Amino acid sequence: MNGTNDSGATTPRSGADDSNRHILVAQLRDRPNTLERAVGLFRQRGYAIERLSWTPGDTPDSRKLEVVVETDRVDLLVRQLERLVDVLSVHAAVPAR
Amino acid sequence: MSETRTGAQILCEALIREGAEVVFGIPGGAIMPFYHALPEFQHQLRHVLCRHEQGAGHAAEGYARASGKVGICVATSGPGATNLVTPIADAWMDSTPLIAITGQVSSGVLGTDAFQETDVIGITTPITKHNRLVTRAEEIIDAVREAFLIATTGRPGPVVLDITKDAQQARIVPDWDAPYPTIKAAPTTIDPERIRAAARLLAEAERPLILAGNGVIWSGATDALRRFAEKTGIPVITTLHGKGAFPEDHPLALGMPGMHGWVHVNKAIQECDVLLNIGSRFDDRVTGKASTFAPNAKIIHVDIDRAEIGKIIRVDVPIVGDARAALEELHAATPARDCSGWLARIRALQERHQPRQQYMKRPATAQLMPADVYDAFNRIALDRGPHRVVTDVGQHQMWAAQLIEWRNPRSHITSGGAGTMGFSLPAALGAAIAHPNETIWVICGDGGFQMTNQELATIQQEGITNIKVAIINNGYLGMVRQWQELFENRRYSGTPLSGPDFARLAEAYGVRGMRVEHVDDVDAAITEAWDTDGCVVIDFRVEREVNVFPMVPQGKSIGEMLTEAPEPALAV
Repeated sequence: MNGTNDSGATTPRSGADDSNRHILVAQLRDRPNTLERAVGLFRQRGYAIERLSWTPGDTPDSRKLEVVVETDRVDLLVRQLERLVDVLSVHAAVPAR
Repeated sequence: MSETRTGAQILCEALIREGAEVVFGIPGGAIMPFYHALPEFQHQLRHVLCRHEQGAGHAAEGYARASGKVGICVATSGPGATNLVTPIADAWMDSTPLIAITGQVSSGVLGTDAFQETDVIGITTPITKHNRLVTRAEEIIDAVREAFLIATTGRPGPVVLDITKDAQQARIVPDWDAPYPTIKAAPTTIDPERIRAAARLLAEAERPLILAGNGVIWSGATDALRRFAEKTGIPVITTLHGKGAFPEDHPLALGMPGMHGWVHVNKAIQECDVLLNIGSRFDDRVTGKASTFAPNAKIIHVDIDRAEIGKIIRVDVPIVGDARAALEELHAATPARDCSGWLARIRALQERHQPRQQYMKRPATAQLMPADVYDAFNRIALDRGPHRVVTDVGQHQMWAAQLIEWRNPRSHITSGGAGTMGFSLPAALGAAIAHPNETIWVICGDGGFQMTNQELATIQQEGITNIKVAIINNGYLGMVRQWQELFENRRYSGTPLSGPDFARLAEAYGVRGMRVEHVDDVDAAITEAWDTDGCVVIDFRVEREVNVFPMVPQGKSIGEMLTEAPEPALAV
């Protein structure tokens, strides 16, 4: 699944526990409020973060945000992250078991 | 050797270079260097001293919504900045390009709970497109340029610049040749396959509808919308913020959908087989219970903000892009067609559910009904020059949306998504400055007016003469009272509302005040207000317990509308 998907369809809910767990990997500009703005989006829109890491990004002035999140609306979450000014890219995948 | 300038001087100049003409604000300790610099630029950058920062923020919003330009408000740190939170949130919900500049304590004491220090970045993060703490004068040019870019690119919205006092005070040589900041571009090309898919649906539909929202107005797509609708014959619905996107005297105009939309409009949505939504975000006041909205329709959604697509309503053909560009491409791709049978069906529904009928049931006495005011306004406005209407939030706002015939973009200005009572008077101040040669009407309730009426002093001090205020005064927080009447067994808890004599209050501010209590006096009052060279406040003492109908109870499908109260709505 990639972050540019703008299909209107919501991800169908599945009975299996792990099918709604996703790992999001985002590259962000390294600015003072970037992490707070990204994390605040999860809180405000009701996405529960299971795990989070904040590490150096692909370039010296970027950071990498990795979040494991359980949601049945990962496409929407990706689009909501993408519209943040400091978010450079977002990719979502189902985490390995 | 170039001349050194203070950060505050650079801030003023940077704003002017980006096109700013006016700022609305109130000074205070942490923003004093900016105010010290302002007089040097007074001929290029007008300052409007408001009486409360909330008023300054709404004035900047009103300026933006009336002009299409960026609105700018200024406040000091701490309480000055927190008073801007409501207008910033309002601009966020309604996609208004707003730049809020807040002073901040000096960088050396940041984080020490210094006097009037508040974490403005932390507070405003969830309600801004972007915000930025500026601690060095060297950053100011870049920060201002970036703020304008962000506020106006793609879906418009608010940006906060929190600038420390020492950054405003520092003297540097400004580098106006520095490269412009870059931000992610808004979508510029529209997927032609999606346009073809949409055009195919629209060409083959038996019962197509267009739903036009705020995005049509911000993208300047009103002409493109009219041409597309006329080519295809598809009827057009306009949301609250889409009022003026399509002329309501047009044969294809249907009116407003949603909680207080007309019955025939909501029924048309429930019956349509293709719905083209352009620049509206499927707000819950439009959709009612989302899972039951337009159950028979394929949905085409055009939005500049990708994150709005599929958020509320499942979409069959998503089109990410500018409303005008999308409409022009759809116009080229969709063959001319005829929808007259479908339109006739909707008009028949309209005949059966006469929308204005409810409001025409007036008592035989001279008792003033709210609809009398709108009726007179409509008649008198026909013969008048350019004018706009700013409404507040509540019953009077819905009556205005329903009963005034809206024709032009940016002629209807209101607080929609946030539903901010107190919006209208200060927003009208901004609109009046943007359009000094037009008449700006405020229509508000007695509750909302009392939240920000201190801005009458601002209007008076600024010498503004083109604002006319109509208070639909029913002595209640009327919309809440209506809900209490209909759904809470008439337990009027916290809704009966007293107020001052508004006409005398206006006079105390140096503004002409009038009071109208009888239906026979309405026309003369509105005419006189329009003819008065100066601002006027009219206190319309209306029947107290009139309701807004139709109404979709919250959480219900828009197919389930109340058209009258279970018991007689009028207290006799």
